[in-house]
Amino acid sequence: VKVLLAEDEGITRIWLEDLLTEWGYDVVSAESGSEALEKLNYIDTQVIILLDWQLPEISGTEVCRRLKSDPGRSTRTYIIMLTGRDSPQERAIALACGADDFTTKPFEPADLKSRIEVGERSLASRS
Amino acid sequence: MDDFAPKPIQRQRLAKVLARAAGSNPLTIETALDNRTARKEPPSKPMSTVEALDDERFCRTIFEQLSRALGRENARNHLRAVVMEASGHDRLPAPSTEPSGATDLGRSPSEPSFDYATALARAANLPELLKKIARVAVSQIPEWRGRIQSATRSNSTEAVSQAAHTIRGAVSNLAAHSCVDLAAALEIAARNNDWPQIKALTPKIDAELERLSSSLRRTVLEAS
Repeated sequence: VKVLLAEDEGITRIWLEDLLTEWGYDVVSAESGSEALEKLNYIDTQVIILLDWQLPEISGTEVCRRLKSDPGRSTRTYIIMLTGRDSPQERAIALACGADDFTTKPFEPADLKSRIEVGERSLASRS
Repeated sequence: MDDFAPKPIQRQRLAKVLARAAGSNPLTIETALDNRTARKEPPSKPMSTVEALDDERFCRTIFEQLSRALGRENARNHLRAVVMEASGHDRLPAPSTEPSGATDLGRSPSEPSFDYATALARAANLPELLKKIARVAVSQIPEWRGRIQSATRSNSTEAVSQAAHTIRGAVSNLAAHSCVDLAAALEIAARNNDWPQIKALTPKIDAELERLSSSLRRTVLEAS
């Protein structure tokens, strides 16, 4: 399964890239919201997106809105919003923007892996 | 299962908050458990201390009850002792004597600037990954310190908030708790446009980042 990782902060990005690769995922990374959208243009399979909230150029929530308003993309993307924000209001905003899941930094590897696996199951049920 | 919702207040977080209170007292959580029974709440199953401390509503209830009976400060002290005991700590940290909210953050210089075991666990117990992350952190710390300093000098709360947010996210991967606390406080101060607090926190986070850098070099990068 392909995973698009959109994270501008270097340490978290490297950490996630290595973990995801270790777990056997095909990882594509982006450092901004616009780069994430651009890279998605070249991915024509189902994709799990790990999306940081606070991204340069286009925010994570705006990326979410754009993807979920496009029916062609919406059905083949599963979005997990990654963020240091941790209030019920912010969770609600992320989910209202179209995120399928929401988790806060720092991540526990086992928890993140489980969430990605939920994403895989969700995508499999759509195909 | 399709989703999982964690409780907002967790034992360790509660322990951290309560640990800032001073003093000690022999009263134990059993008193609060008795109060719970007296109020005829649903008995459900018996709760261990650890389970009780993971129950947000229960924690609030016992704190309110103890506060009414003993005053808030004493209630904090009792709960703190119980929480630390349940968390496996054999010694309570010394309370801060400084009055400001900014100054009681951070830890004493003798304490580790990051939690190696937790950082390694977050790196899926892959020492090479932890080393890689530490190397990146050490290389980025001078840039972060510069960002905070220049954001403070430029009087831009937006820049301070963004820099603090970045640092908080990055160092949380390394379980650098003191640095995370300082960055979180700085982020909040910036959102509140609280310049006295920002100016009080800036040198503290700068020093803590320097300490973290030295510690990462010594503990992770130069370790055989």
